[in-house]
Amino acid sequence: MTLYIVKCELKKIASLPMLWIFLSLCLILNAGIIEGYRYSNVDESFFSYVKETAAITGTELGGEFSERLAGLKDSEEKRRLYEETYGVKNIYEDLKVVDLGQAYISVYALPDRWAALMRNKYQCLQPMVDELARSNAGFSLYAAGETKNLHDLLFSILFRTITGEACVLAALCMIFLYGYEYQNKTEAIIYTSYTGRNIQHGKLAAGLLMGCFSYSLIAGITLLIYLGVFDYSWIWSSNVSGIFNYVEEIIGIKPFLTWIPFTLWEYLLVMLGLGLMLTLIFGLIGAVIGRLCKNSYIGAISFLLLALAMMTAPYFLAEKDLWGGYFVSQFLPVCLWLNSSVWLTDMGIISLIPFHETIGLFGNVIIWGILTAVSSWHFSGKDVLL
Amino acid sequence: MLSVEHVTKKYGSYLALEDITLEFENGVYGLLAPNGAGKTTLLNMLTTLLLPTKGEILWEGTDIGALEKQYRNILGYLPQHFGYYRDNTPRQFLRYLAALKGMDGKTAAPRIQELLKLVALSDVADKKMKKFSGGMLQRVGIAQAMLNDPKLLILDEPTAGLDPRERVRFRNLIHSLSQNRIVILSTHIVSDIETIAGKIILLKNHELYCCKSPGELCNMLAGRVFEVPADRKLSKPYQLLGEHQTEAGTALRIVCETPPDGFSPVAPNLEDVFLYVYGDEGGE
Repeated sequence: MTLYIVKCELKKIASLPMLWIFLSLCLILNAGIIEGYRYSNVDESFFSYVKETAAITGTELGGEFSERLAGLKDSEEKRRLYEETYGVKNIYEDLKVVDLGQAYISVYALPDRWAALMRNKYQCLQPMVDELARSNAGFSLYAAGETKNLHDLLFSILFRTITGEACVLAALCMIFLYGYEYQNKTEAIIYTSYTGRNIQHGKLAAGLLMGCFSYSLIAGITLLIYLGVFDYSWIWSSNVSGIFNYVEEIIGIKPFLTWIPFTLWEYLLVMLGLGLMLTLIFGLIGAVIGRLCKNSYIGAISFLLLALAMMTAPYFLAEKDLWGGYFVSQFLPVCLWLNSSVWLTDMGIISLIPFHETIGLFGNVIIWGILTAVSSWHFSGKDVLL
Repeated sequence: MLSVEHVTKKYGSYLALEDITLEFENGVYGLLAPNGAGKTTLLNMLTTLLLPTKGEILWEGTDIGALEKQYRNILGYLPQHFGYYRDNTPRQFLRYLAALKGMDGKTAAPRIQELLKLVALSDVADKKMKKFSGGMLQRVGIAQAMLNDPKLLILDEPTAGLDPRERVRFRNLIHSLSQNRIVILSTHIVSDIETIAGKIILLKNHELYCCKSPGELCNMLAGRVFEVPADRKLSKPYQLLGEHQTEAGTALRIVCETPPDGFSPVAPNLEDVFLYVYGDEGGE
């Protein structure tokens, strides 16, 4: 398979006007989300005040922080910051996360088998909580009272939107590429050439490259816009498990507990890497569907139906108390995407194991990679009906 | 040499072709049969698009399935419905196909130039194909089939949809390309092949009817083809081949085992053979 062939396959996708229209609409939507959230949810003047103040007070809460803050000129923002930060305790010092596990078990009435696994998960998390306590991670200022708003905007809303857009694009581009010869009635001359049915390897490579490009473009430009609006230069070293970052759930409010300590910068980078992996998985899903459905329109509809089925599976399974199926379904690619806002954390009722999303993503790469290879091998020995 | 050994093709319970055995050496072979007889099925098996249900197809004694790329490397194919990329120029399209045929840029460029000249498309080499006529597209089709200078050239209904002038041009082109290679040309238009094919393959009832030269085929009806006035009542059984206008009125062309009284046989042509083998029953 020559690079020239991969380049030609890429050109087939790139010459689609709809691709660029869709990319543009994604970027406009993302910019709209940032602007909308900025005006309705974020107190920008307070965020700016915290940024300016942190240069003097530092970014670790405690007695010294409060003293330095007290010495600053009085203002509404200062009063708010003082109230939020004065007398904070180390939230991780006496935290027994097995109680969180027990809370999930009670609320969802988990059967014994699954309750034991849930307890085990939180027992595995306790050493990390102890480490957070020792390192005073809870005293990380982050963005003070605006932390939750900004963290949710970036990781719950924007990141999920970016990844969703890239995943859909990766899948549809792949389906389009696999159906291209059928649409143009060129199957006969392509598959009887020296390269023959191996052209699908070139299409796979091109589709995955386009997926990477789309994700990079959408994520890159969206983040540029976000960081242009919100200056993060002073908070990259904040711990994401600080006191001001938390998760609101059915069991109440709990800290943002990650399996290993992350600064905001590290967390963002790892999330971006995992998001790229998810995009490639959707590219592989597109390859399998594209191989099975010659017609790209039928392939696109099949993809949407499959995504819908994946999305709704956990709800139906939980309704029927089929907890085994429920926990397995949370490894489905669409479910991983839906829960991306809590990647790298304990993930509550969603998972029974540490690093659920990482294991899930690697597992899906293997599974969909095998399915792609099997469908390709099957096609190699099949009649091409024109 | 290409050999088809007892090949059968079924689609589920539908029998498309049964027990076909053929051998091909350098020269032009015409595959002549009405629509739906199995021509395209046979050609699709020769081009590896379809797999035989039974039997095997051999190139130089080796199964073409086992040869894979090696076989496709000597194959040139113009399918019945030639698809193309509308927004490509012939040069771009042929460059892409050349890459698929394992040719690098340096080898492909002069070859493409040569072929565009051969098919008289040099003037429009860089114009988008969406503006091309059917004849021009077919010429792009033959150019792509010839890119790798194939030893086996398969053309499926190459003149369908072409006007008479284009058909003659195409016929001449095929004839010029037929040196030192096997050319298999499928058609249901007799005039396409009667002057260029060395052997004619007839398929009937999903089986091989015969594989003979045009002369041998015509000899099958020697002394049995007659032209009689349409108003003439014939006492002996005959098969009607067709009718045409003469200066004296409408004449019937018939096949009759015993000569009608007062009439001498005319020289049979390939169309007579085609109509005889595939035509309707005659009357008395």
